Amino acid sequence: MTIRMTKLLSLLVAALLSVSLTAASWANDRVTLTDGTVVEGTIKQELDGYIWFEIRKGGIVNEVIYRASQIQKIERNVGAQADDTQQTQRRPERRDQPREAGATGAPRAAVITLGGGSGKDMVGLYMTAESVRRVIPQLEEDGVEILVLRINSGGGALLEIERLSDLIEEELKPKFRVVAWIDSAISAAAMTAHTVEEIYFMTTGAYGACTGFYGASGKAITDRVLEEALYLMERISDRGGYDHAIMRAMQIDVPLSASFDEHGRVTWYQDHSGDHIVNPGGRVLTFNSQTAKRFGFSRGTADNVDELAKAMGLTEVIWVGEQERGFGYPISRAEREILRFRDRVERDERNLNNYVDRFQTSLAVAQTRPREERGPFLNRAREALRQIGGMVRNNPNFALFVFGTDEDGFWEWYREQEEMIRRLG
Amino acid sequence: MKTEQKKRRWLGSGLLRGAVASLVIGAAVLTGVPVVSQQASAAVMLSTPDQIILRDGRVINGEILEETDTQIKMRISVAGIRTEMTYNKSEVLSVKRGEGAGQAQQAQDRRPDRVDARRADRGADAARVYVAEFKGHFGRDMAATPMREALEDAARQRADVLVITLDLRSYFAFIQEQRREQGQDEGHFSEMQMTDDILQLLRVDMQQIFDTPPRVVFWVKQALGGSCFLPLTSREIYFHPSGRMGGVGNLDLLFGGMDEVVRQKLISANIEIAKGIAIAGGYPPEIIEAMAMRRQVWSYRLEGGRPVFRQGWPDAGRGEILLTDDGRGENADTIEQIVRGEGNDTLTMTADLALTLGISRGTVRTLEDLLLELGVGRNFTRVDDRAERIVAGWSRDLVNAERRLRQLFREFQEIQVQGDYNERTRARGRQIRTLEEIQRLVRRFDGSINPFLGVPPVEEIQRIIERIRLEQMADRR
Repeated sequence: MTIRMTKLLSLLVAALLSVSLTAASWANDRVTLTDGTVVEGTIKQELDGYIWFEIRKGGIVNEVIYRASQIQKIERNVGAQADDTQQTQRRPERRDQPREAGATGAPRAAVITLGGGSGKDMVGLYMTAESVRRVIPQLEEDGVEILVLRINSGGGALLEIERLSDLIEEELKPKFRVVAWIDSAISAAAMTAHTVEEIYFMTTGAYGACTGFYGASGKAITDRVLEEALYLMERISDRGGYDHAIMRAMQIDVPLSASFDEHGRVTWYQDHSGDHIVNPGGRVLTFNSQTAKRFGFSRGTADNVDELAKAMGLTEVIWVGEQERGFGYPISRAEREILRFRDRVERDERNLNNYVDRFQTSLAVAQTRPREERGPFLNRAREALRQIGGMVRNNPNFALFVFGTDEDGFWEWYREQEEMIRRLG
Repeated sequence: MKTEQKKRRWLGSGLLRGAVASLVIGAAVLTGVPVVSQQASAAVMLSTPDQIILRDGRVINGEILEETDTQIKMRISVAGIRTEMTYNKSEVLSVKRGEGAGQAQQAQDRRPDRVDARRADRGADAARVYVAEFKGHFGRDMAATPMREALEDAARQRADVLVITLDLRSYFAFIQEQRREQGQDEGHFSEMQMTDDILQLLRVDMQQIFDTPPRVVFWVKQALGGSCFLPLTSREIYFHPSGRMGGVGNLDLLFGGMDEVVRQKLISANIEIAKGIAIAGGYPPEIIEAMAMRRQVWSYRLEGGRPVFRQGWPDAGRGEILLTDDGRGENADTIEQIVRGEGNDTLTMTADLALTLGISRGTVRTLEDLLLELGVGRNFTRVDDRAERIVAGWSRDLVNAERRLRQLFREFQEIQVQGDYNERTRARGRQIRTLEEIQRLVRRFDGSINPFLGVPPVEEIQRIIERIRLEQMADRR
């Protein structure tokens, strides 16, 4: 099977293809998105239903890509703008927010981390949709317009990918310009990042190796489960605007090659027929920062927020948060919350056996004692049960990973244990 | 500053720190002709020294002793101290024979009083050099804690140049020693995961630990196993003549028992993560494949002094040289080759090969040679008084802690909970205190503790403590 699809190599190429503009006046187009957002700017390029749309704001030029499914209406040449400050995205939910430095016109950006590396990185445990959803209000209160998802994870649970992708697509993209900044995105982490159109790498970045397998046996997923994973990633590839062939070469052992046209655009082939072999047969694809950039998958390479802003074409930006030791980016309120979440998960994961052991042994001893002597043991069991409950409250996925049940099933069990303690007392 | 007064301070002969290399005095001139005596060579040197200009802008005057397709060996001298240096041709912009005479003569003509005057002037400009030498086994004698402490100390001392010397065998070699196993230490890629915290220190935390991050230089005496990835974080790697770097060549043999596509996934992820380390350091990612994959064949050729890598057997017609073979059958390295680091199933770089491949900037036998190479010359101040206490002290403390752990666990096992209620209570109290001390020690040394001590992990110890507390609650007078 040969899958062909073109992709823009870089913003630079798009700029070369576009109509020349002046700062004071340029062709003005208006795009109404399906979520009601009205965006004014200049259509730079159109391809296969996608549009590359340039928005000027406060002297800053940003380019965003909209998929056909996002677009309700396109109005062309609705009137030249004399003042670029009138060119803004209409997003009522953000316009009303107070912005400390908004007067400068510089966009406000924040970094939040998905996965913390070094053992605190499993998708589904440390990188969850729920933990990100909780910080959206803080990001909005802080007037964040550009949200950088810095990803550092070696992968994890398949089930969390769709939740994270839905969150990015349906809850983050309508509110923010979402950017993925890849420290390390392996397996489920890469599959999540694939939702994002704008991907940048750190120099050390790696992205791919998305083969699904059962951890205990080392057996690859097959048959229906595999087909569902492949189909899921086709849909997520569409969200991010990526050729299906790329992710397929990351999921299963198929070759991938690519050719460039005279405009620098890439055509992908799921065989060896392209001019450049990206993934030979017998291997599963993982990009590094060089290969990702070379084939236009990554829009740039940046090792700190200044380099990232430059790669994103931002001449001015306000990074929300404070610089702290041990972090290569400013820590916003939202990020602090994410860090707290991961610390709690790590503590719970480390102490899980102790919680369970304390609960079980305390309860067992209580059952062997006369009723009047049970109090201290039952208190101990109750305390351990609360710790287990707090663990699941912080991260509902513990219910599945630890107790093999969904959240409802866990809380049902929890109430039964509470009742048992009450009866013993 | 009091501590500085105690430090060895060498003030060079009035040479500017940054420009020292451009003023060094050369040695003999007759390329390829062995120099018989220093006197004779000095006499010739003064009339016609050679000069090479490096790509980083340094100008080296001296005597070209030997020139091959890939390297130039020179004898250089600073204020009468001679040393031999080897330069990779890929680093050399131009070679001028006999054209440094003017500068050399000028340097020789300097009057001592003028030199002394400059020395006094340069005192404040002396480079502050911090040397931290890690010796032993990676993961044991080099861990994140002593590295962080060394970095923090270097920051307190306002070091301009941080030299990290590695003389480390793999963690696997330590495990083999503990098991009293004899085997071939052919490479252990999985040790890469032990580098996470140290890489974080070198790549990220460094920026916050130092107000102005120093120039970081790795000097490789031996960097085997996981430690071989660490020098790649710096753009300045130097080798000792007997230096070796590698010992991670078994990635493609890992993950046995898994489906092939799963194996390929894990290999792909690991190799590209490792390549990222090389890319960030400015090194060709191909060396990672050659270092890690035992069944891959790699060749290289030199173009303009720079290596161009290709996967496959060499094509002699294109001037290609075999880097690694497939390690199969008669191509498999012998024990003798492995022990001497001369095998080619996977890439373990020697000093010469590292220089040829552009990984090493030079081969130096002594620290003084290294500092000359760095352009620091003699005008530097060592500010690493505490380094030995931090780095070697960590190793000593680790060994002492392990001895103490064995003793504590033995004591715990010997505590008898018996007698009356008060005696039983006291005995349990002693048990808990002993176990908590074990936990403190294990936590302090974290992953570096010998796994064969027979002491349970921290979490298990916590469970034992919980049970003792429960027993105490259940006990009655």
